Amino acid sequence: MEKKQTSPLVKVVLRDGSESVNEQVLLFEIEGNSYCASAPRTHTDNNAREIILCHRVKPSADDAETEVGKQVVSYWEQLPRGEEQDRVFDEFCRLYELRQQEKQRREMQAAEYLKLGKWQRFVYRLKQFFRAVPAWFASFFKKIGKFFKNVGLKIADNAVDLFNTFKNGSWSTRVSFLVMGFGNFVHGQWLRGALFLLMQGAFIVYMVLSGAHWLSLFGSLGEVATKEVYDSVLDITTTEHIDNSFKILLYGIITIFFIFAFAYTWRLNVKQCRICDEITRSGKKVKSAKEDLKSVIDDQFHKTLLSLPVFGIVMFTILPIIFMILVAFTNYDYQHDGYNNLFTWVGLQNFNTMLSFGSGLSVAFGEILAWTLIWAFFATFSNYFLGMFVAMMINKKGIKIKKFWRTILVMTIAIPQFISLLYVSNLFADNGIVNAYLIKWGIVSSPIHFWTDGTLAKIMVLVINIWVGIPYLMLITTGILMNIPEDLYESSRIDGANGFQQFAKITLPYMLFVTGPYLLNSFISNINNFNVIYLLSGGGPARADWGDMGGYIAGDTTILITWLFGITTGAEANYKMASVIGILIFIVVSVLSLIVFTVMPSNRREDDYS
Amino acid sequence: MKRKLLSLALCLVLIAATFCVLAACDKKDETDYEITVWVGEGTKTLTEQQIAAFNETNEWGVKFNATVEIVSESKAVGDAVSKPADSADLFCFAQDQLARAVQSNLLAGLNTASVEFISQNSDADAVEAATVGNSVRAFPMTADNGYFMYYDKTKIKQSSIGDLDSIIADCRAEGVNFSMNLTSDGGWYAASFFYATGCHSNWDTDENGAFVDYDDTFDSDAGIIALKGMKKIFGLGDNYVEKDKVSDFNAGTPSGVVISGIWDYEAAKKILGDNLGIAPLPSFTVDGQSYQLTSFLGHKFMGVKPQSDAHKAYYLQKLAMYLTGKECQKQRFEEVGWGPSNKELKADETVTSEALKALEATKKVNQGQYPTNWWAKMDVMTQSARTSSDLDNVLKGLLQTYSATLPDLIK
Repeated sequence: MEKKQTSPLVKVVLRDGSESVNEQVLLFEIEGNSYCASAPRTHTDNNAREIILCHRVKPSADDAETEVGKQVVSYWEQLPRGEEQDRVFDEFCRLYELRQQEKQRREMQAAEYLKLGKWQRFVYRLKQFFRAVPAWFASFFKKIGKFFKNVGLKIADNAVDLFNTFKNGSWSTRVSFLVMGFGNFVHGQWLRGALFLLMQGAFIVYMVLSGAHWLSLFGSLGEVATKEVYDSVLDITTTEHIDNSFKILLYGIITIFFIFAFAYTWRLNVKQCRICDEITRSGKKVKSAKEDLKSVIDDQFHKTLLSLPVFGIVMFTILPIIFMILVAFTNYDYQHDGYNNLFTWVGLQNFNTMLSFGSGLSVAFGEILAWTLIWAFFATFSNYFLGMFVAMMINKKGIKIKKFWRTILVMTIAIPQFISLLYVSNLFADNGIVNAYLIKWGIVSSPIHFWTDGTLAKIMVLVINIWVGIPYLMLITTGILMNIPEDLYESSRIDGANGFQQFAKITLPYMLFVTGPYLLNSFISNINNFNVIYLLSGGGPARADWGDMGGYIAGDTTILITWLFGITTGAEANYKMASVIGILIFIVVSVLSLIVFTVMPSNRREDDYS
Repeated sequence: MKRKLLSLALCLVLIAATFCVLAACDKKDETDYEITVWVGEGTKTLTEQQIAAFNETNEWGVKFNATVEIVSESKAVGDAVSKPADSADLFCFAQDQLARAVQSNLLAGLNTASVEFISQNSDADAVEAATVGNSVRAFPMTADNGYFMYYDKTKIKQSSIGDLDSIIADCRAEGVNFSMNLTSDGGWYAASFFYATGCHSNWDTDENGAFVDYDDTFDSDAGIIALKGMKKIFGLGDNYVEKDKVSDFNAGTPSGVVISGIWDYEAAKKILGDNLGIAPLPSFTVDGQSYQLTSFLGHKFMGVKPQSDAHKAYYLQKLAMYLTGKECQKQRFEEVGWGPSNKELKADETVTSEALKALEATKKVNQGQYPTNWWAKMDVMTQSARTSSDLDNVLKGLLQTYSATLPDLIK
């Protein structure tokens, strides 16, 4: 910590609304660094930005035991005695007092809360939840802002560092600005130097031979699709393909990635040279190639292990995602396939088409999104509770031939959904066997429109999804149920709890805690549960009032993912709008995931589990 | 030192020689071509045999090493659009996709010999159907893409055949269904009512397959009559099945009538055996006047993908001529029952079947080119008609809504 005799720049901030296990926490900043003044509980984090202090604030001898504690004590002592120390001390005290008051207010609130009835408590919690939502969003956007600010600051820092390195570095370091790895060669690090030089060579060759071409066309995504040449001897016109928008977009992104990778390597090269300079100046010896090679299987082994997976993730996950996102800003569809007819950038036009208030498409999108969320909610929780219920029933003492019951249920999983769902779909068709028998037995006079009535079709997909989903949940929950300590049930029984109370107070909280992440995952999977909807109802019955997109008419049970499928495989494949839908699904899924993950007990009280 | 240099030189010579040999081995005969061919269900083996026969008999000594894949004719153009660089060199597709294929530059221009071959050998309807703007763009393979009536003789009285109202009455009396896909097959079947009342929907394209003009009279008094005729079938309520599958004859509540085409003949025969009846489309009566349902008559084509090698492009057209020629069409008729587009075969009385006769006897109109989304607009209209009342002003409203969307299809 840099000592300054002038203004101590102390700013004390109450960590408002902290849910930390440590109740008495003061967060304060000294010269821009954040510190944590905490109550007697031991803080294990030795990070220099967090220190342990007594809540009395005034450093005592005990506090000076740790390195950071010493720094704070040192800081405290360097403050001018008298007014300055008093001012800081008063500030701490004032805020500590505020903290105490806040604590008291919360305790009072807790007392009030305990007086509330069950329903009132639920309403209270619900209110608290929704009150917190704006803060979450504010925090989210603040974090995004902070991220960009940090990126900006980092770039600026790097620029300054580069300038200083060039100004103060040795001649070999300066040459390394142009010839990568030169400094390393001069300092005897031939392996690093060769790798840097290889990277530079590869980059130059790639850019000259290919990268510059893709990059120059990236702005337009191509100018000429085909050139026709007439062969008068054969009376044949041949077609030569010139530009390919699809390739330009793909290789353009790869080139941009490569440029970033090169820029990072170049920066690394300069930094390495600076470090070599510093080591040489201090009279020490720089690492040799042998030591470098040894380090990749020793202290740098994590990098060796991760290099291939990281490369794989970039190439096969991040790159396709970026590609698909960018498609949403083009006019890529059946008329602009990129090969025979080029596609180009259209800005936000597709989002405008999809989300324009009052347009047929936005109405369809709104209704499909609403049904998607309803579907995901009911599909997740109906399976969850019923699966748990079945597992509890089978696990119950006194139930005989448990394996048999389990086997029956697991049989549903054994048969591929593709077969079972198509079969069930036909069973319940208007002219299917179920309706035929219902009419034959005189139960109904006319067929029940299981798939052609919108509301009924929605209920049907939910109910049939229970049939195919329960066995999975039964298997998962069986294991967890067996892990709940039996003594919890025994002691509750002694206290006079009935079966329902045991379920509500022991089983369910335990299950929710353990399976919280699974529930979230299940909810997200159901948002994208293509199979069940597509194979059962095909998204129908069709809603003529929504019109069509890409030659596909969405229906009452269409969810976003089946809509996306329909418009990419319809008569007028519309990839751009499919990409827009994909982005919107991503936004919905990520927002929901963040909210649910934040409020989930498994996340909020991690250490409670033990 | 000398020895080292000599060894090095020898090594280089050996390496160079190895590369030369490998390059020579790799060099193929200039008349050998690797191609991919997409054909419809049931014709893969036959096409492979036909290509093998072409390789044996062609006068230019060309050999095609063909990979024949099954891609439904209704999806071939869609698949080619989604992966244009990897689409087949020759592909079979349904007529309704011709304009779209031209728009997407999926079809090579045909040379004079090919155009003459098509004009001389195919019937006039097929030539017209294969023409976009003023150019013939594909090789006609079949002329049987129409529909007629399959029925169960034990459920539908012989005396009822020919009259839709009587057929509907029989279905009601027997508790059986009437299967006709009026609402989700892009209006292909629904159009039969409009053409029956004298309406038409004609669309003009330019040379590039783009739709430039249209003449559609569905939004008219005759259009209202057509919808009223359709409502007769919708009026069957629970006994109306929105499908064109002959498997409905075997459903829990079986169908007495299925409107479909020759592709379902074998399956229908298998289910109903001797009880299978085949008849032309019936007529319907509105306000005392009778209207004969009219089937579309479409064709299947073989298209040639644009090529960068002039010789390959030339020989591919020769192969397409062979595969759509008289001999191959006859083999296709014998193997899978497809009705030929070849003039001579059409006149040949031995090249016919019960199903083809029914189609022949059905009143037909040549299927023109329609914008891809026109079919979806038809679905939207007929789906609305299914649940609407049959008041004239309500039906008129549906037609007006349909009509108002048509200008959007001119792009």
